[in-house]
Amino acid sequence: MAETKDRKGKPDDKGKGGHAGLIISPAIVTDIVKREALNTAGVVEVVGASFIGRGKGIIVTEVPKDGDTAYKIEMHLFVEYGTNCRKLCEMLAERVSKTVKQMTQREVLDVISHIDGIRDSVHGEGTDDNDPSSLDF
Amino acid sequence: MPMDVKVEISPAAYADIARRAVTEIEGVIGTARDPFFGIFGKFRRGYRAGGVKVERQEDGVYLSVDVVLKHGCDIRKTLMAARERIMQKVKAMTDTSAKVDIALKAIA
Repeated sequence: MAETKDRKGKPDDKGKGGHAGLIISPAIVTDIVKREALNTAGVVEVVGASFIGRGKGIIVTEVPKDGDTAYKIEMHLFVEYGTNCRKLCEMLAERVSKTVKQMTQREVLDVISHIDGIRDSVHGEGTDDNDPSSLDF
Repeated sequence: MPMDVKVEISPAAYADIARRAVTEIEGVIGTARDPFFGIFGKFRRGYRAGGVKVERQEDGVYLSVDVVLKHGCDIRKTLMAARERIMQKVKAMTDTSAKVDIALKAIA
């Protein structure tokens, strides 16, 4: 869920002729980031937004920069066991910023990745209380 | 301007790594979950889940793992191997050095 004051996004100020009135919603950027993350080897799951709509998931914030708009992106991820988290996050940040830049013509200033847990690549096997590797004693 | 990349690894992720790493060792059945962790653990220091306690320290992370072993295995060797494996996996996955205490909780 995108966290921004204006959910509709801000009009692109680039030259009043060509791009005037162009609005890109942060929700779209959230979608782009989510797709890019899930297409990256090593990322198993993107944490869903909480039911109150804040705090987790993918948070895209619009930041004014040089008369234009740039983005700050925050992601909460589950990664595959055995993957180097730092390398994965650096690669993912590169990919995300490249794709966002390519699709929106806007810069990405910051990418913050939160690793919330480790999962197997098979869906449905979690780290919750039903994890068979932990027993009650 | 270069992009700023920040990575934050939650204590739950460290606990997950430790739990998965120990089960790779022959003779280890799993971690021993303390049911009281869920209730009283909230009031204690550090993060606890599924038999793993995680505390962040200045020079890395401290993990305390309670394990359950198979009957008949060499306890000392198995625990040492499990401890080594956790340290190795945490280092490989997070680039963080880990201090690991491992305790045998039960034989099954």
